[in-house]
Amino acid sequence: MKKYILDTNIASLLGGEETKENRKIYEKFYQLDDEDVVMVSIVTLYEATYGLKHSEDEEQQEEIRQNIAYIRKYFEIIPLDLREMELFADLKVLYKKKTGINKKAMKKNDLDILIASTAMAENATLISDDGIFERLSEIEPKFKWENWLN
Amino acid sequence: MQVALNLGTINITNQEVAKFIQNRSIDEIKSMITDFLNNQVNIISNKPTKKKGKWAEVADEMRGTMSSDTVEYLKTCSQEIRSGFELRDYK
Repeated sequence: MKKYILDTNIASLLGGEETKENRKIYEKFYQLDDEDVVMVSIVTLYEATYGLKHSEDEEQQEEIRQNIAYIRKYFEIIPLDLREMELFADLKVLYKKKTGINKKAMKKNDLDILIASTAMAENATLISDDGIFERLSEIEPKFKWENWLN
Repeated sequence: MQVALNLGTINITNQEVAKFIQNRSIDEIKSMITDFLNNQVNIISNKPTKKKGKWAEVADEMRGTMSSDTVEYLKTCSQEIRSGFELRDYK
């Protein structure tokens, strides 16, 4: 049994019209075993719900509402809890040291590091096309990451 | 319409089998080949076909429920939240 956490962009693309880009995600889904677990971070639901409330297009709102409903129906939602606390702190310190990133730029990565620590706490592979996760997986081998759009 | 199947030249190197075939009529050989082919086709069709998995069903159900514009819009919303989120450093 394998565990995966879909990042927001991947969960959104899964609901999109089929393109050359997201076809690769469908192919991955076709290869999953029934026993595999697919999850999303609570952060993804926060972001999608913000998108829903922020949209002024009724048709678009309905599409996002439907996407949120699918996510809640089929995927396990992972809240933030105490298990991530130390993982997050360690990962942030490590990232800062290894990259020498300045304080201001570092702040933009906090949520990404939080999601990465959720994946580590769940012993799951994070699925994302965001470049920061590739860098994080290089400096912290315990963090597993895959880009299903490649 | 008559359908023909040309199997080309079949070389039988096993002496016993060659002798066995030699002693058969053309019709008997045709019948044996037909039986053999039928048997192969049956074996293939008897193989269990893989059932569509749970996650394939989910992917198919979700596919196309949002327009490309909405997917792009959600991406910008996500980026807005990620870049706007910060853990404040108090002095």
